[in-house]
Amino acid sequence: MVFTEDMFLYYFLPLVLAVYYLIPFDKNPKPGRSRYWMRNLWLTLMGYLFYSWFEPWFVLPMMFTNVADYLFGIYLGRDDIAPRRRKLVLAVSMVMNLGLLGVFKYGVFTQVNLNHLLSLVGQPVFSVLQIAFPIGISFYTFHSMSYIIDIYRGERPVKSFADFSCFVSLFPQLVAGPILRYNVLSQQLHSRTHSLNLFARGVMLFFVGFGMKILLANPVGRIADAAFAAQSPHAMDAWWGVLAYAFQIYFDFNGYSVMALGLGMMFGFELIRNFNAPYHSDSITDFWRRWHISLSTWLREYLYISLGGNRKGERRTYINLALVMLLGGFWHGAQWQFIFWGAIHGTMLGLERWGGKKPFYANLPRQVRVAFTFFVVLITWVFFRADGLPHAFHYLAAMFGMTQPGPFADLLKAEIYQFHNLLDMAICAVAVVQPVQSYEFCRTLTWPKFAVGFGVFLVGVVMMYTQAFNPFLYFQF
Amino acid sequence: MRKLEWTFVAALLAVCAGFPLFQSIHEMTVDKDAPHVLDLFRKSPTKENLHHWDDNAKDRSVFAKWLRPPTLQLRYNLLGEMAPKSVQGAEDWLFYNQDVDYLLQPPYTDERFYKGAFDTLIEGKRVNLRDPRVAITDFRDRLKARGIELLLIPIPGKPSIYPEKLYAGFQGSPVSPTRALIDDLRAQGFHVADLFGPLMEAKAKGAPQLYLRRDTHWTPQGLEVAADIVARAIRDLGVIPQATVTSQVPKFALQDTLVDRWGDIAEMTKVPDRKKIWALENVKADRVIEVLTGAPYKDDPASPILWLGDSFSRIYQTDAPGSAGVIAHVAYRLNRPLASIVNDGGASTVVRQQLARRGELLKDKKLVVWTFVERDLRFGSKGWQVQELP
Repeated sequence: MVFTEDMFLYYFLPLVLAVYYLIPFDKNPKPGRSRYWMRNLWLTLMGYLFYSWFEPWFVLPMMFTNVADYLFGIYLGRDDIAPRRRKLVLAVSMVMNLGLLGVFKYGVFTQVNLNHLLSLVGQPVFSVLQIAFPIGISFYTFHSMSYIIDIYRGERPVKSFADFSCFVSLFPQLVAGPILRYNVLSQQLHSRTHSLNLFARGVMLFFVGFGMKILLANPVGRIADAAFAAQSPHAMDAWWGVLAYAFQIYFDFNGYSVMALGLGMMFGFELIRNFNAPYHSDSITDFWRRWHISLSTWLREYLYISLGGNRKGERRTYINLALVMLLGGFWHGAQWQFIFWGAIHGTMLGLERWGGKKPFYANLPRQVRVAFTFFVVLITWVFFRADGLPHAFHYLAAMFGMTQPGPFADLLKAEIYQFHNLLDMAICAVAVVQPVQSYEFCRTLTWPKFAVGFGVFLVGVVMMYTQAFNPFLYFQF
Repeated sequence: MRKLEWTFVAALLAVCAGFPLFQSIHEMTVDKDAPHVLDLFRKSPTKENLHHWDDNAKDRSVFAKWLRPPTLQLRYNLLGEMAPKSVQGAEDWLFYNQDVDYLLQPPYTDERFYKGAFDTLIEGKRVNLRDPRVAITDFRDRLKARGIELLLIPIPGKPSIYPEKLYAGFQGSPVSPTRALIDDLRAQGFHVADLFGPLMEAKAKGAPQLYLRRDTHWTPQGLEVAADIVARAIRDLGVIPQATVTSQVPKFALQDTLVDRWGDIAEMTKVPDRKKIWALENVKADRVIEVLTGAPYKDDPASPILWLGDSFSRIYQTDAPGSAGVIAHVAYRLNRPLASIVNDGGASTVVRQQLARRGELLKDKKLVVWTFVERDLRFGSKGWQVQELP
């Protein structure tokens, strides 16, 4: 199910909200059980329903992960377990989670590359077994892993299965984040505040996020789609296309994240924000503090620190940094282009760290630094959007005028420079450059803000009827 | 403050709960039907049923029906924006986006053409069914086994012939990627008639407009250029006895008619006031009639020539004015009626599936003429499936 389609908006959301608020608190919960356990159970069931809408059987691996990690957590939480055994349980859980991810997400990639290797050494290749990719598996696997790692590190495990599975399958963040760490949500699963103010702020965030997706991301996405689909575009058209993609991915993913925050608030949860004006970054280090914050935080806490972080010497720090970014890239998709994308970011982070966490262009005026950072990010988005590594290099070559435009390349201009395209891009540019971020904008509520928010939402709903089904970009990860 | 907060809640509920409630009441009172939401519980929750329910919900949505037309009109009036299938060209010309995308996107010789497609084993050979040459070769071989020849006619899309009408600043020599396919197929021994060269030549010589301004298809003048080429190609193949082609008394004659074409791309824009925005195109079409009876041309299923085609074969033929399409004009030039199977948008696979169901049509055939618009090489309905014949 997608937040911006009829089913979610008109049936699922009102149903979940109505039943949720009709379910009473457990005034005398059993020890270890939250007073919201029934509401958490309802959210869990609705999370499964939400998820199964994509494909009913997808829910099976998620349920398996839920049950297994719940049991692993209970076991790890016991005080009488020897350290070696704790390590073993942790390892088993990690192997299970990463194994599921490996089979479903990286199975085809592994087979295809194995075939490449076999053909290189002159061996016969085998028929690639097609494996369906359950949407959002990367996200809920990371949720589940964070729980086990946090328990291993000393957090108390949840007693109630409803509470635990609610954490993993909470529908606002189930398929595209924000990626939650268990230690952030554990308290809220147990006791959280349901207030009218929080609910109203959640509604406002939902309105704003909905507008970002329908009114900004989807229209400019058509420009990006046309430019990237072209065989050999002119240089200017290729730049226009990647700029459109930069806007699309930002408003698509930020729109989703803001809606997820809003939906969370409607149920009393305060999830973490995922974006903070990333295109205002003046270095790549700064970019990763502002872009997909929940992923970079997760990777830092569970991977970078586990690898030793910066505590094992300078050389090891650089290796850790590169490894984290490479794996971060690979997490996005089982394709070489994502690894390359991660490698470029890792290299830039390393270069910047080499200068003492300051970019080598630190002495330039801020506007120039921001522009340079955006330029680097644009280049990396090519790898993110392309249909494979060869296409990414071809597209980059087109951007720099190093390819011969296709015989009909001029026709692309008719598709991507219509008046409405120019207007959509201009609105996106203003929305990116202006300083007010949706999170801050929705912190306090006023009547004018209501008019803006509800107006955007209504226009979004109307526009939704004129757009084709257009799921969020991050669903593919 | 609480009033403001309650207003937010009320606004959300008004839309999210109010819309479906209104929809259900409308379905019960106006449509006299059970609320669509109940259908969810009538079928097992499989992926297909859930998605079918989603699609139905969109079709039945009262708000979609009310809101979509004025929104599209407003977007066109303010921004010149149209539904995604249509692309605005110069001088009020409209283009079909698949025609444009076919020329812009990688051709069948490029690796990216096959993205998301997988090799299939056919008789121990790895082939990719997205490659049109696989189905074309297979069809040729199946026909050959029955002693029937195959003549291929890829039809140029409008932007191949009129790129400057899509983008006024178009520069360069437009060579459609389909011409590479034609060369490739000819090199493999296929009979292929090239319409690109003659149509471009006719345009260069100042021929009347060969394609309709707001339609994906050709004008009667365009199809007559094509009919000349196809008829000549059929004669040159020599599979139809010359005597029956040339030395008979003319069976058919031409009759002038005028026809108004509205334009399928204008329809695709979905702009409610489209009929006020764009004028009808009035074109002269030559209707083919039987000399003896004056009756309009009719197919003959017993003809040794079977024509397979898409809407380029349907336009003017079964559409108004009737019997003035490319099939009738080829028949006129050959002085004999043809048999035909025509399916809009289905020339890549559907026509062969229909042929498989009507196997009797292959009886006593000498030649199959398979026409398809070039965009189908990428976007053909049901792709390019290998199809057995009875």
